Amino acid sequence: MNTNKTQLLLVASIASVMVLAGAASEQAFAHGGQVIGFNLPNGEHRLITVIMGHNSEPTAAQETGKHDGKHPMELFISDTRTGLNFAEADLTVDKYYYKNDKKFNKAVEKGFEPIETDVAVSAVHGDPGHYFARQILAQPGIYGYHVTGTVNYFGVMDVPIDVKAICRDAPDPSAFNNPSWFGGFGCTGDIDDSKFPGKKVKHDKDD
Amino acid sequence: MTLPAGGVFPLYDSSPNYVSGHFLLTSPCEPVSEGDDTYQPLVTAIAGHIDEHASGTHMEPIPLFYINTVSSPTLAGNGDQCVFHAHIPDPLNGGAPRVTDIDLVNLSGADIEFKPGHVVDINVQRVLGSIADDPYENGPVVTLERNVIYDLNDDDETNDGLGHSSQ
Repeated sequence: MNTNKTQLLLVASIASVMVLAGAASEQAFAHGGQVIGFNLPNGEHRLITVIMGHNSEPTAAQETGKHDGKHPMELFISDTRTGLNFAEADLTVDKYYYKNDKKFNKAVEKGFEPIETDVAVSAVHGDPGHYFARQILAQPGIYGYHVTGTVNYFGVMDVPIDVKAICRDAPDPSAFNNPSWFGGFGCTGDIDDSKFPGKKVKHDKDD
Repeated sequence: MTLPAGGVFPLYDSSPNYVSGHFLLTSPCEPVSEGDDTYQPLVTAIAGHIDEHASGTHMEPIPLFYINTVSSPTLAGNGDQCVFHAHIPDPLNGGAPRVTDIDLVNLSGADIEFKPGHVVDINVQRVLGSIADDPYENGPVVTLERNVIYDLNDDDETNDGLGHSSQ
């Protein structure tokens, strides 16, 4: 115990370990999210914030000998008012992919169909509130996710979660996203597009 | 140390960071109501944020858990020294959601005398964010009421609250 030697009889000892919230996030942070409201058993209203995107933004598709394409779909889940993280959740994700704008627009008309369903979303070890659906992005294009399940609210109750969004460069993301979605995460490009010097880009004389 | 009626004793200020952690207080105490086996401290512990701008100030009493097994009403049969725990913040039982400041306030109407063994321990575990990013607004809100006391060890289930967040 830390003993204060002032004449005050009240002793305050403070042990501080300052760990910046979110310090484990990657270089860039192009993510979006939803805020989900619910009532506690005593009737008080609470909010949960779910932030969703790809790990290690900006993303690029796998290409042998150039880029591994490892960009898990990631979530950050916290109590909106306090910022406390939620370490317990039972979540799965349905995954959507469209090669280009034309394919996406076609799906807008005919309906969105997931490529994979009920993929496990797992907690990142040692980082409460951070969740991954591990994957390798195989192709450049438009990726979307629909996460469902529950988050355990500090041992009191399981709160239903429903978060759905497509990457922000899709022609009309609002056609896919849940209405309360805000912000956005980037679509996935070709690793060669980020090379410098790379392919010559032709510009108009006026540029 | 004597804290006079209406006196304030600042304990902790982590501004601009709001934090999570655990709070321990030992204090002279009295039953929550006459004959009650749950005790409340004579002094009031408040937490939240005190801003240079009054509009950004928000302080509320900390929800406290009375720990009867190590308190003097159980051990010595008097109210000399009760032990209270709190979770900072406490999303289940209330209080200020974002805490940068913790103070003691004497709302008892009389002097409170602290003796050796009366202790405050504040264990900060994480920085949750910056109050500059998530400020309180439309203040000042300063709720000067005695602490709500929870007791998980008595027969009264109405004072159990919703448990604790383990953070």
